[in-house]
Amino acid sequence: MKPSGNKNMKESEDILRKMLTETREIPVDHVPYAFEKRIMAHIEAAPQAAINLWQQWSQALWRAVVPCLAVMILVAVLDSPEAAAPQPQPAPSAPLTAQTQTTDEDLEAIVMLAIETPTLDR
Amino acid sequence: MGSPVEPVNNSAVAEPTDKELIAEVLSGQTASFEPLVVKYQPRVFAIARRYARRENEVEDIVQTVFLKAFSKLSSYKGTAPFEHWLMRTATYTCYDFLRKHQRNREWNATDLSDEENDWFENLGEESHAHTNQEAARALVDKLLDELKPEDRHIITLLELERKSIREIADLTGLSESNVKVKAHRAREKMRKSVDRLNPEKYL
Repeated sequence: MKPSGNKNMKESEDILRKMLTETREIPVDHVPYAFEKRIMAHIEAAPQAAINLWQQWSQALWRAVVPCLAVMILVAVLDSPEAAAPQPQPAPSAPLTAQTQTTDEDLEAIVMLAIETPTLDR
Repeated sequence: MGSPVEPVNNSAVAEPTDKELIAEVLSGQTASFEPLVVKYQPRVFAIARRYARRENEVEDIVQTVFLKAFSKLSSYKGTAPFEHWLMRTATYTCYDFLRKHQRNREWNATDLSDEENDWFENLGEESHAHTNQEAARALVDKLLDELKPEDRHIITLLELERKSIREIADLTGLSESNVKVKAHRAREKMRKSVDRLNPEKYL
């Protein structure tokens, strides 16, 4: 005959308590061999990756210098009024007169365009 | 004859404290972090194994904890011991893991392995003290699988980590009474799950 204590023992609360106690008793703090090396390898690789990223960015910037300079010079050359429409060089003594003349011509062209295109003044 | 070698007094060479190691790491000596990892990794593994079952998951959690600790080391104020700060980081990381790997599976008696069935059958016998603890752990995992991540987190801290209600409230940001209520409900749910899983009930 089984003692009545056995029945009580099988009460779900007791069973749960026993389960939890046995689970707690299992040693869980063992560490895989040389695990700290794995951590340190990750830590040392992370700043390296960041440095590599800056290096790549810096190299890309240096590589872009020559094309940027080339584009800059090309734009400067094409944008200059002398290159767009070669005009007779004004006398070095009267540079202001030549500039005023060009501005007057431009203004005249704009006014003419406005008169010819009625939608512009709306 | 060579010059006599001076004896090295090992006791005089004091190991650097956590604060000294942390200061070295923050000044750029990354290698000084390794003694901290060696010192605290058993504790972090112990916490991680309460939350994850597979060993590769446990290792991933521990790795995440230490990488987080390293990257946020400058935020450690030094008012509390480094161990507390690290364990808090470990607990948060484990909770994140629970939320991402939410199982919410309901187990039945037919899902039990032979070892788990044996564990129930041998209850109350003298030899039970020496039965398979791993079976008990697997059963507890099954019970915890049925809980919501927050409840599982609270039960793990309370029943397996043996934290006090105040410590759990501090870690979870809940009030102490809220922790008590949630723990009571979660335990009640676990107790009902034991009833459902216990094959002895159906004999």
